[in-house]
Amino acid sequence: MEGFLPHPWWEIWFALSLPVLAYGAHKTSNLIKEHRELLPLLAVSAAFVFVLSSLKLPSVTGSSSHPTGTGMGAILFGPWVTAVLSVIVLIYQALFLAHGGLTTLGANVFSMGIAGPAVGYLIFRAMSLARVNLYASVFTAAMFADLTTYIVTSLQLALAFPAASGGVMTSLQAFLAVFAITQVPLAAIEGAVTALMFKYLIRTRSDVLVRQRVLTQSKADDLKEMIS
Amino acid sequence: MLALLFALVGFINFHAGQGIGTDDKAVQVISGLTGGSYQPWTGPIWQPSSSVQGLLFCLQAALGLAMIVYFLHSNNETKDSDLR
Repeated sequence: MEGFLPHPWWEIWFALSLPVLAYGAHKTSNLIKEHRELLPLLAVSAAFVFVLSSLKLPSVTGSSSHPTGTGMGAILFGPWVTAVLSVIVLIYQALFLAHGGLTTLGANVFSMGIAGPAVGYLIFRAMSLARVNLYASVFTAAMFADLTTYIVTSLQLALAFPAASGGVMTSLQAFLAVFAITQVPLAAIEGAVTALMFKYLIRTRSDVLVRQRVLTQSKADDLKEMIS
Repeated sequence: MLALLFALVGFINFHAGQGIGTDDKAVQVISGLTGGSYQPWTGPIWQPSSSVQGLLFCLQAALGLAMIVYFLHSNNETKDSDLR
């Protein structure tokens, strides 16, 4: 959607996203320097975004859309770092696939790299505090990280293109009907795939999950015992 | 395994590509809201054909999958050496 966001909206979304990206880059750099053992998992979280966002899946509305894959990074490393992982994919798609766009990069980073992961992260932390089952927490967090991305995209477009009668709310309904409804089944699939990935991580790298405070040691031991 | 996944992504994207994407639908909504008067103020610096775009999406998936497979493989090797 190159060039579709008019002035001043594309600049506003860049202005909101850039400070978050700058802080995210700083946090990512520190993470890599201080915890080299986390580098493979950071790379896999980026790879997860790469793979899932490359899939164009058909949905119930007859339209097709892409999952985001940001839930895993948000749970493991938080939203700041996930913003950096997302921007790599968004730049690749904007430059080589004419998908997304360079002028809409600020808006796309905000929806996919900031808002979605932030909501996913908060949901995961709230459900962990409430002692909800880990897989249910991961599923819900990843699903809502995906869904929030497209709700925010709808809001961004509604703000830029308010309806002549009914204003932003009417536009929002029209864009939500396109983006959010299409995304519901895809977000559920993304939640399930992310939960499966965490099952594998518990079996093989529970030490990292404990280190990242995704799990307590005793919970990790319990889950490992259940799997084996 | 990678080749199989590469083919799978291509197959999914090809078949999903037959239907309209949400981006295209959003453009229709914008056109409806603005009475068809709104024109994008700039275009992509490079617009690949749909087949090239599909191939590049496959390449994106392949890069990610290669990383994930490498991670799974190295983890399994570590586990095996731990067992020994």
